[in-house]
Amino acid sequence: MIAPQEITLTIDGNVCKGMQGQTILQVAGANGIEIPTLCYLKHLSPWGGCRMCIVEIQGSPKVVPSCSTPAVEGSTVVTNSPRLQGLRRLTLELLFSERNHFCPICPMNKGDCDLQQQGYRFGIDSVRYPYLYPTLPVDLSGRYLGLDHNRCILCTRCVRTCDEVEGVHTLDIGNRGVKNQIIVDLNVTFGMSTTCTSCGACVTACPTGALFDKAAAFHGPLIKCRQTRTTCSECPVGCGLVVYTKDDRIVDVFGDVESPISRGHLCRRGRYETWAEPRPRIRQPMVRRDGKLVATSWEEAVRTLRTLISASKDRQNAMLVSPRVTNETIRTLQAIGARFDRIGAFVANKEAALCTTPEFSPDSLSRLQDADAIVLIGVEPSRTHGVVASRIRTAVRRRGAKLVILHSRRSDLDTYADISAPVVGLERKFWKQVGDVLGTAKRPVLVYGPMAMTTVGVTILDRLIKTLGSVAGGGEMLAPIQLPTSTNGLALAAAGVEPVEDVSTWLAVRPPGFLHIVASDEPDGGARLLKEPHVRPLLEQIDNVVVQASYHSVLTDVARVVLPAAIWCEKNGTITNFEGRTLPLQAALPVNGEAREDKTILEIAFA
Amino acid sequence: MSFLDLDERLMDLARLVEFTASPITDVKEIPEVDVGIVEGAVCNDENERVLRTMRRRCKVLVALGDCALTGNIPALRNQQKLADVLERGYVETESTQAGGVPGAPDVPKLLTKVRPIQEFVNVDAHIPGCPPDADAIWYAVTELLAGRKPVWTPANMRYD
Amino acid sequence: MTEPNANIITINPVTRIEGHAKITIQLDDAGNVADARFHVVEFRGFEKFCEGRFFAEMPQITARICGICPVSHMLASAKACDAILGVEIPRPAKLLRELLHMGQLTQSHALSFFHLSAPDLLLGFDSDPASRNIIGLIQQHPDIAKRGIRLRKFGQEVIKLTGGRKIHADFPVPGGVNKALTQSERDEMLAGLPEAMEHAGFALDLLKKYQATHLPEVEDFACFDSNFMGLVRPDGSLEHYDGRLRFCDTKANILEDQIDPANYLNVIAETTEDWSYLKFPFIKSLGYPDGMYRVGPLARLNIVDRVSTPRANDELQEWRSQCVPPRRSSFYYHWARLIEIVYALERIEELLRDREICSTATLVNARPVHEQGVGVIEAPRGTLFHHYWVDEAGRVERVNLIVATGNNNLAMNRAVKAVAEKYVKSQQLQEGMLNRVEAAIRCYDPCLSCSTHAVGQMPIHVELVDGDGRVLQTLTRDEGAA
Repeated sequence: MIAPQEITLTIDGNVCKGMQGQTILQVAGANGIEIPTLCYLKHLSPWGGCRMCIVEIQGSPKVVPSCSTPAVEGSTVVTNSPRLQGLRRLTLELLFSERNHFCPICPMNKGDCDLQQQGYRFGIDSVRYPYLYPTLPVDLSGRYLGLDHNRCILCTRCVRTCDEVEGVHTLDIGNRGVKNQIIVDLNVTFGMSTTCTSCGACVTACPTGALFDKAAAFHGPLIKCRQTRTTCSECPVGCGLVVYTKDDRIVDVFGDVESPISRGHLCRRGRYETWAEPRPRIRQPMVRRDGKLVATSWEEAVRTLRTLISASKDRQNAMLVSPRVTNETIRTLQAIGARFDRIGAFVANKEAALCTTPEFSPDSLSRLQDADAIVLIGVEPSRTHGVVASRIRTAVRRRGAKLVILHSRRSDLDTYADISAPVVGLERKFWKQVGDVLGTAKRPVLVYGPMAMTTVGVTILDRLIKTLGSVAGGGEMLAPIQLPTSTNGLALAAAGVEPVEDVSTWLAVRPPGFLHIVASDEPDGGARLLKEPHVRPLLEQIDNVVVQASYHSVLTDVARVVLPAAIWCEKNGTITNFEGRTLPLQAALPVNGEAREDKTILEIAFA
Repeated sequence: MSFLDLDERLMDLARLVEFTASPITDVKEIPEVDVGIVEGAVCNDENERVLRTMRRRCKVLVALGDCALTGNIPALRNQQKLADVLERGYVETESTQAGGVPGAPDVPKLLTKVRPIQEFVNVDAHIPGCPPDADAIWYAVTELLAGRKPVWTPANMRYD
Repeated sequence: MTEPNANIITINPVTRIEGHAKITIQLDDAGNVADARFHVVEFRGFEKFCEGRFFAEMPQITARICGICPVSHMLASAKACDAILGVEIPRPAKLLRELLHMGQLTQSHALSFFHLSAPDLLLGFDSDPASRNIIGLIQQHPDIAKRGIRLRKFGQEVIKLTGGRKIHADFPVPGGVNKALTQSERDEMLAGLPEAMEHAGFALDLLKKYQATHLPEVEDFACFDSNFMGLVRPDGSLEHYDGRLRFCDTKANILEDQIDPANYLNVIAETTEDWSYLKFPFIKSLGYPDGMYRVGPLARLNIVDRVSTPRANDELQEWRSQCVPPRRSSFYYHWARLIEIVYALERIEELLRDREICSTATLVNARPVHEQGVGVIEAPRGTLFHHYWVDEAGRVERVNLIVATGNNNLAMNRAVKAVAEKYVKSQQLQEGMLNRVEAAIRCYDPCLSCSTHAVGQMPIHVELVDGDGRVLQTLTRDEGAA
């Protein structure tokens, strides 16, 4: 690639260097000159609609929006003149009078609103235009977010984010002129949308209180919150999170733009399910007395636990571990491993096969980013790895990447695919089609997950690898990307912990006398363990069951002792993502009540 | 009420100025004054009449608070038909029996839309906020007493 | 309504109250007072324009119903929202909400007494209207005025330190409160208590002296039978934040007790009159207008068994021994109001010394589970009801409000009539007489709308005309100059 040429221009009397192809705003920014903006976001394509970033260029009578005007070698630019300031004021006054911008009742009113801040910066204490007072709707049908059109300035940051980052293009502008309005799909509500993934990126992008997080409203101005960077534990992608806290509680969670993995984007799970779903938290150790769980002290809980172990002296001790545990907890597991006859990690369906030959796939996300052909087999990124799905969608829609999906059930990605077929009875005709579609691929990428680990799946996987290998330019060896669903499952497998996908068989084959379940901060409290019909009676038979979990669930119903575990935002440590990167967890809050981190609990109980 | 949050400064102010008509004094008619402070949006015909009287009799007219500047909360009723708003309040509400919309000449006639003050009269100075802090009011009043118009910056203004 | 031959005296606007109102007094042909009406002339429509909003905004929207008592509305609103979420808020949140409430009670009652009513008591009902106000008080009794300002300031400081802002703090939210109290904020409030209590005591002494030297007028000022309503604790003692409804008759005998305020629709209804924008609540079982009842300090101190804090309880006992039942005179509101200030200050101390007052467990996360919720508290002026219907997405479907002063509407009309009958002599209309009529209203310390909104005053001109339309006398409030 030819390196872009350096250019020089004068901005506000300063000689500024930039690169050919940059906009005036970019060159100014690189040289420390700040120009006010409203509709501009660095990582999105420029819109030029708000007219705040206007500048004057010597030789032209017009003002131009610097965010979308190319910087020209040798030009002289003025970013701040009485004329420009006057026009910016006028713009703001028009915005204020156009809709119903009533700060007093808005959740962003304590400094979290760009429109308000611009109003303060320009000292706008009155508006010269008559207020229009249009009647505008408030869409509260989204589970986590609301859209109040009264506060919208039509900057389209939400539209562009949904299109260019999440890739679903749920949002656009409808109607015309002063009746322009942000619409969802073909003008339905968020609750009725068939494309919205609830990733919350639109809310993050919105400069005003138009799009807002319902569970965070009035919980604390974000600008005053403490911010802690940590890593999401919901899946093995490991997106960066910034947790906003106040008074020992979470106010909101956003993506970390510094994260090399996610660059500020999140999916519904990390963005909302981590904090916006009320769950019954276990705050204290509990022991079962007369059939009921009662709160107790750590001493008594551990005493009871030790009694249960002694009671089953002749039988085996077993432990089941959630794949969400940190690397540090895994090391503790190894340290106390001798106390247990068997330790298994309860991974997702079909993941045991994946974990048996754990393969970290380095640089997978950047490879996905650059891919011009993507093949998916046995993965459902839309359901399980939202940010990966967004990369796939944007690769297809913005860079024309080819997409081939082999699935066991349909998903929204099928609408983006060149070929989407169920993993059964694939004929020669099919393989010819695949060959045609992938024929010109220079950087193909194959992503496979647990559901590819059926007998049929594995065969097809081999075939795909061969096909891709033969079409890839220059016959380069193709490194397929393994994408498990369990957060730290690969690290557990690499540490020698047996991946268990069929818990009932694992238990039935050698029923232990004592079973310790580390449910950790599984959002359902570990209840998914009991989804298989035979597991519950088995656990009831074992009787000496201790559960270490963060939330009450049907699992704690069968426990004799319950130990309160810290949740993701209370944990320090590391997890390893599917690429093999070690990512840090930093506690944003002190542990709630008497909870402890998983490894601490294991040390207290078994060391 | 934010004005009364001047607290002891009220006593200082009382030495500097003469208070005439206000909600806290018993002077019922607006005299000719140097400075008139108006708050609230224009919601009914009486509000409008009073406002225009204020403009005629005050050398400097100051708009205090967001309601006067933007319409604010009272203007939320602009999103609905006035008849529906009255119907809900005086007939439909669950605790109301045998209700009816008041219409006697005793009560002022509501305007179709609530509007800010500057859409009726020229305003000489504005103090934004809901409410403006007592400090902002003090700043504005002392500036006006010195013959200057208050200047608002991120440090001393608020819209909330 | 007006008849062609009736004589009407108009007082417009009523001043030294919160909000906009006017009074009309109708004389019969003999020149006696036939009727008196208290007209509220402001209307904004909260019960409609809240529809469609996100329910978490309701405390902030309804705060703007009033500039003096936004705290009352925010708390009642937050309670209604808690009911919709189906949550019990954490104990520290409850303590903090009550702390905010007590701060409000202090400042609001101080305002009512010192800024609004004291000018009549200290300068005289008949004194020059140009100076019969807080400014006149500052000039003629600066020490007393300063006490009033300082006492109110303390209440406002409690609100600011607890909630973050003096007026319209966004502190009470569905599920709790959004700000924990720091040790230094707590200590600052504790440090201000002794002075505040001293001012409260001073005010009580002042009022007791006034009452002692004006006993006949006081005992018979706007005096009439009525029922009383308020919230009480399970043990029957004074309560402002929580509690259940108790109704008493004019002699303070209990009619109904410990009614869950969520069932208010079973016991109270409202109706309308053509000549006022304020609705008229009444006790359903007694019908309208016989079901008139009073709320606020006089009602509360009539219906309770006792007050839980020592000094306020002593004051209550003293008041009860001085003012024998039935305690009907509207003037008694003033004394009762001051006793409540003492209670509020004592309660503030209790709350600040609670072990959990600085806890950070102030907010629970929850989603709407019930389709409606009722939040009821005792605002400074009386019982306040917020009733919302919200869908599971959090959209406000319907709102019903019975605002504290509204409960007193029938009573205020009676009060005005009672004073007019006593003082207004048609043949000689004196300004001080009209002021006494207004003073009757001031006893109730009404909060008629957003109290900060006084878009100037109407030029007022009072004429007394006889049946043939001849002007007998004119009374005009002159321009401000003394």
